[in-house]
Amino acid sequence: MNAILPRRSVLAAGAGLFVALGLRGAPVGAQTNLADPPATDVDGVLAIGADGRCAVLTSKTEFGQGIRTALAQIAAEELDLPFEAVHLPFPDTDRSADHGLTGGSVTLQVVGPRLRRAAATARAALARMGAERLGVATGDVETVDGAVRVASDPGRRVSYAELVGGRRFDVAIDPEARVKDRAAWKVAGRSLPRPDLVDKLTAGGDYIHNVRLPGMLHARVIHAPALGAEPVAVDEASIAGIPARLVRQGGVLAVVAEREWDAVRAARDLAVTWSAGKAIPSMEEVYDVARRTPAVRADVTVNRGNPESALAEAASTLEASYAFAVQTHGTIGPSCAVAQLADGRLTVHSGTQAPFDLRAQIARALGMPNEAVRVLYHHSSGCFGRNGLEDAASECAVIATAVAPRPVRLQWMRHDEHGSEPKGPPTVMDLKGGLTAEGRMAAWDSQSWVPHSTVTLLRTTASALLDKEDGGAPGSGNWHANSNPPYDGIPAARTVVHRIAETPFRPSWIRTPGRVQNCFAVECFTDELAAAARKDPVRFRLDHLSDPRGRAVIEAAARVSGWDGRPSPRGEASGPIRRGRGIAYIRYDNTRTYVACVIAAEVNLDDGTVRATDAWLAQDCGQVINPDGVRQQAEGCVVQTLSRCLREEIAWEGNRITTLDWESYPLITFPEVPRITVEILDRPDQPMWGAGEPAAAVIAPAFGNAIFDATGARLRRAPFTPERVKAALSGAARMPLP
Amino acid sequence: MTLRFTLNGRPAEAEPAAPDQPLLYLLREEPFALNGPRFGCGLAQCGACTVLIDGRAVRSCSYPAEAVEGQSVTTLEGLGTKESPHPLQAAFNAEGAGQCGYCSNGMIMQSADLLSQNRRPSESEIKEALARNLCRCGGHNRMVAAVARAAAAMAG
Ligand code: FES
Ligand code: FES
Repeated sequence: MNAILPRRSVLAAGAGLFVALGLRGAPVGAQTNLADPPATDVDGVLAIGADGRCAVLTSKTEFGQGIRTALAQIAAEELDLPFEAVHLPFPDTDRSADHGLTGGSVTLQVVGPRLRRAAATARAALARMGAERLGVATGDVETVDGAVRVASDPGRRVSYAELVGGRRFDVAIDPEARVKDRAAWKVAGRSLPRPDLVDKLTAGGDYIHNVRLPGMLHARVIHAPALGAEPVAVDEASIAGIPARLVRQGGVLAVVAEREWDAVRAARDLAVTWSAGKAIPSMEEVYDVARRTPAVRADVTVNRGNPESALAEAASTLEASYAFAVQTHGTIGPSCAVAQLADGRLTVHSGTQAPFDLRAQIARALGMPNEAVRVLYHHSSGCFGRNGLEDAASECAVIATAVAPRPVRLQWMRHDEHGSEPKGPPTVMDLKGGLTAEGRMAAWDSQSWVPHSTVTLLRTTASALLDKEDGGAPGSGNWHANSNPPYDGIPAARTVVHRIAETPFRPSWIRTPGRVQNCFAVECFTDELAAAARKDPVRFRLDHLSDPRGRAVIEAAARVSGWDGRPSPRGEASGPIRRGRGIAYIRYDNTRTYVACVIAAEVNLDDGTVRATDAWLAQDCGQVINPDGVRQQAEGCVVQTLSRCLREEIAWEGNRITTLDWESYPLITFPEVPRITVEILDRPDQPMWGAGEPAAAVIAPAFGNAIFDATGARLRRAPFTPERVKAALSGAARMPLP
Repeated sequence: MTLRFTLNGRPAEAEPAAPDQPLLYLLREEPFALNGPRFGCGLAQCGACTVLIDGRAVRSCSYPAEAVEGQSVTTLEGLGTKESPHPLQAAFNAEGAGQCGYCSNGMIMQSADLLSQNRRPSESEIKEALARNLCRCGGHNRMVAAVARAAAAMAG
């Protein structure tokens, strides 16, 4: 009884506590109830409507990861509701709980357990209310299908809707609330389909791109074609024949029209003279420049033993440098937003991953109080980090102030997305390793160069164009993660990450930020050491790893792939096609999800093309809420990261990006996608961990290691373009075949 | 200039903003306000905007609206509805073939074209038919399975 504490003891005074809980609350949905709710309150996390349906209130957004389905499963399970009776309203800064931005594969890990406790607290409260209403002891009731009933007389029941529908619970989340055992799960733990999918496959879905408001105008922005360039002259006469008008606010340059096509062609035809902009290093220089750029700080991500002396004493040593290209998020539906300034309030519709942060950024850049800005979320096209969505929203907000009170929709064109969204930065890692005479890793020493930031927000384009701060940083953080080798069997290891102040383009998070790039270097270099030691790559890893869950995923990947234990490269030659297999392993952030992947690759010696034919992935992300959701994410990680390995590279000449479409920045195509096998190691008794990103980390190294196994050629720069493959095949990077 | 054409089985009339206006913009604006065909690139490179014109897949972002005079246009909405989906839509849903789903219009419309030409395509024929359709989320293999499933369902 004392587990549930009324938030307002005044309500509990006099009348029975649980009657008060059910009957005295204000109606759910009134703004005062749900705006900025305390995170410790059940009402801040979920609400039972008058129809008995449960709304889960969260700022977490969905762009195809399936997290909202998994959250609904957790709530349905603990509340004894059918899955269909739980829904997640789109995040709305006026109504949702601020659970922070969506990203880092932490939604289930962080929100999942909280939601579970909140739902369990709510169910206990409902049981007590129901018992009171039915006139029996709390111990005599059970909760089933959205109702409380007398266990011995199931006909005597009262529904959740009758008990609390449309009203508050007014209870704090009880951290001790009894949650269900895994064995009792009916809704969670199952591969339920995502309810949002069928809409997307039929009527088109509630995408941000589909928001249409009465009287809505259409806008296009004109972004600088070169980095840092500013408009010197704008010739309005160049669009005189088009029913569109120019909007200029600070540095924001846009055209607005009644009809969308008029906005498109006005933006296309507008004659603008641009300043030269700022000089940046060339594509070839960029990694060396990173090494020379002053670091804001250096992080030592592992420091064990004395690598200098261990390297000096090693029987043999290796050195190598790995680099990863500048890449774009590659969203299929370019960024889009709709905004309206009316009655002193700015409403912004966006597919943002961070509704509350975006609200604060827009408010600050426009000099408005936070309360004057409302951000509403709609589905976006998969954005995988931080693409142009927030920029488009901020620009659209600026344009809305110029056309108020009419609503305006800003759709970025393809060249805006490829050219002006923030990018995955260039990264580089230099490594040294030493082996004992017996072929064990004795020493590891690495230095890497990545962007610096301590802020989780990226400054928006509008903030920069208006020359007003919005609280965002020029760069993104977290690039140091997994820069260390995951093997505790290396007695001496030091990994230093230089966090540099500047890289040529705005550096953004991009799926599995830092871990994709770092794991590529770390796990390929591990493979180099295994090859130098003439050891089987799987055996070599297991020989240096004590963590049983880590070993289990490596062993599972080897098992499902039918791994043939032997050193790499194989050196089997027949015709121009060589085949090989490679493995890679990560423990995400060294603290959570474990993944290992085996990839089988083919290399065409004549033209330098490479291809993955199969990927076998083993993943342990703890307790699994939706197995098929985990599988889909893992498959997506394989395909998307292979695409990034094959040929994705932002190219530039001078300070102009030249890869502004899919022709110049091609994605993987259907015939190139490998067969994919995903083995999930479910750990029902363990905490749940994220599954959206970890699998992406192991793809580049597994692929690179497979190419090495096939040919003896080591690829140390991603993507693996035919030119780079051919250079590796004929150059110093090739290890002689046995 | 008033265009007359058939849209999802009904007679339709529209006034393009300019002679070079692509069909996509016409379909997405009033009075049609359709959501099925999506803007992805405007360059005929991704397939997100695909519609059927007289039964064949066409990239509406690069198809002049003017050319639609007298033709029959079918969009995702015309193929099937949530309540009564086309076998392709049902199969994509059953296979979980779509994450963000943004590309799915193009995948389904292109596959509808394929199945009208080839009732039982092989796996590699499906992949070839979709080779110029882009998906960022990586649901490719599920989409191939979905097309095969739909083909089987349609063949009865
Ligand atoms: S939008 Fe038409 S092909 Fe990309
Ligand atoms: S499902 Fe997201 S682009 Fe294909």
